[in-house]
Amino acid sequence: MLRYIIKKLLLMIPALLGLTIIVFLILHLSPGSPVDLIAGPNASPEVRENIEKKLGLDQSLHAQYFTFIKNILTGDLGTSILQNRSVAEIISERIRITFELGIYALIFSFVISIPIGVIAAIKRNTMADYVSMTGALIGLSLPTFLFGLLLLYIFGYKLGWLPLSGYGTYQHLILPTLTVGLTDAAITARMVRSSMLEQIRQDYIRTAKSKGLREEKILFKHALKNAMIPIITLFGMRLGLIFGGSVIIETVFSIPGIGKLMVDSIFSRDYPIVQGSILVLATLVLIGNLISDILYAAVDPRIKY
Amino acid sequence: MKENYLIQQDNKLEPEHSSYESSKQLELFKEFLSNKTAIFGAAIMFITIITAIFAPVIAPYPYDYIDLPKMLTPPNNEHIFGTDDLGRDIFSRVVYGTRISLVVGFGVVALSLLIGLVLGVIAGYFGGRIDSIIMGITDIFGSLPVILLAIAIIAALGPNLINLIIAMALVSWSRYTRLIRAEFLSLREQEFIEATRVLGMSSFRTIFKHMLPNAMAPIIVLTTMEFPVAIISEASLSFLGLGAQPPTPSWGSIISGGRMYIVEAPWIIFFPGLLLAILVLAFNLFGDSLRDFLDPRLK
Repeated sequence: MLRYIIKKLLLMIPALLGLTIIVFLILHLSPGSPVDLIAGPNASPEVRENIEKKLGLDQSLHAQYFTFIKNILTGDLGTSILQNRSVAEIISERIRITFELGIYALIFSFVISIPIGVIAAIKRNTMADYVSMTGALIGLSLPTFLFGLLLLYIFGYKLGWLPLSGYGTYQHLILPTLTVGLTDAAITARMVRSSMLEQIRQDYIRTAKSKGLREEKILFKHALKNAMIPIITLFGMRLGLIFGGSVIIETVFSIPGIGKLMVDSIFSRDYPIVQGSILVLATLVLIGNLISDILYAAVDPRIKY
Repeated sequence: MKENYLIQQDNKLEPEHSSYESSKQLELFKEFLSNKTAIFGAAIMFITIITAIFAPVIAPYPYDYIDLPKMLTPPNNEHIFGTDDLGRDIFSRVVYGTRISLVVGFGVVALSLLIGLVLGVIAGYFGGRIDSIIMGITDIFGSLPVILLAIAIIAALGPNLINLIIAMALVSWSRYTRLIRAEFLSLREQEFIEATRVLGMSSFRTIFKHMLPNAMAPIIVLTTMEFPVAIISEASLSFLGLGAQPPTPSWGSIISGGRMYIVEAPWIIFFPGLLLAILVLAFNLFGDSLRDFLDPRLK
């Protein structure tokens, strides 16, 4: 098991390297030099040169990349152009919010999607199945930002139960959690259903039936247990996707997490922050994938390490 | 002389092969047409395409016609979807918006399919070292979060629709590559492909004439499923301000512009939002039914 985890950890290295190369390249090859932003349009050539030297822009591209990697490894994500503070510091202030929201949404999603998926599978081709799967398909078709705005309008404005935007109290978290949790549950419920259906069709279920076991016992003790294997592994993957989607949900609800920080920084052209937030969020996604792989090995005894 | 003989053989084989294929396809197609959800999806898709083509005829106003005295008018006879904060007709903007959704959806799917096809075919057909290199890169792209990478690319290139299509294609080709490679790997082992090799057929001809047609079903299904994903991504990125720029009437940017007026003029968000959801639902319904008929394995 330990060897398997180490192997998966090692496999993350090329992905992380690829990520840093992509992020480094696109932000360095982009038109509009950061020097213009700091120095302003009327700066003298000497001032520009000084800033260039300070940012290391006078070096070759690959030398800049190695400095970039070295800095990342020591936890230095650069300095914000506009705030003149370290990017790592700014991000660490915001990450807790994104993390908290992601975890709540994921837990909410699993709590509702697993029972719905199981019921839809057991009561296949009945009203319960049709209703829940139609609901799931609608949830799948509603873009997160749209669903968020809809909930905001109904609960924040029409009913006035919850605050319209911002962050601070638990009431602020309810709508974003519902939005992300429900849209995510739509996808998970469909997967739970098909995973459960696949198990119900298996031979060992027929054997259990012919042995005269009680229906509930077959379903919950045997089928569900095996059907959960692919679902549990989804946990990490969904967490990663939720972190990736934080960009949108935090913009809709004006939540000061990393996602909103990143979008705001794109418009203020504060590229070190954009770079840092993408790296941190994408690393969280990769860690989510890693958790998936580890859970998979942990729950399924058939997986060889 | 020998070559001539082989070509004749080849030609004789093909008509039979294709007539069998077409009768099977016809049967499947008939079954497919009897499916109500598929019909519903196809109908909505058809209406959207017609709307996009005839947008100037259908829309009562130009999409950027500003009429300040009429700003934030609720839906009425003159403006059936109401007007926005500049007095522009929402209905006209939504009608023109179908063009953006469809063009971006098509552009992203076509471009990422092209990348995926080239890489997937090379990896799956030739295998070996080139396969491991391509799949290594594919795995890296596949494990990275799509929306974040797209945002990074747009941040670098500058926010507009062309860059959005490029960014989305650059981050979503990996699924096509994986699927096409897997199809080719399994096809390569089959006897009729073995036969083409024995007959001395060129790789090019084998790939395009014999392997690709047999891999078409799952590719079509994946493409149909990716279309709504592309439409949602365009709307989401335009909502963030990273896609279509004003006054271009993308559904996402109309919604984004209406956000500030959600309390006094909810219709600005409501109508494009509703149509976006219906269009995506239609594609998903169509894709689901298509998958069940063409490729039950993906179910």
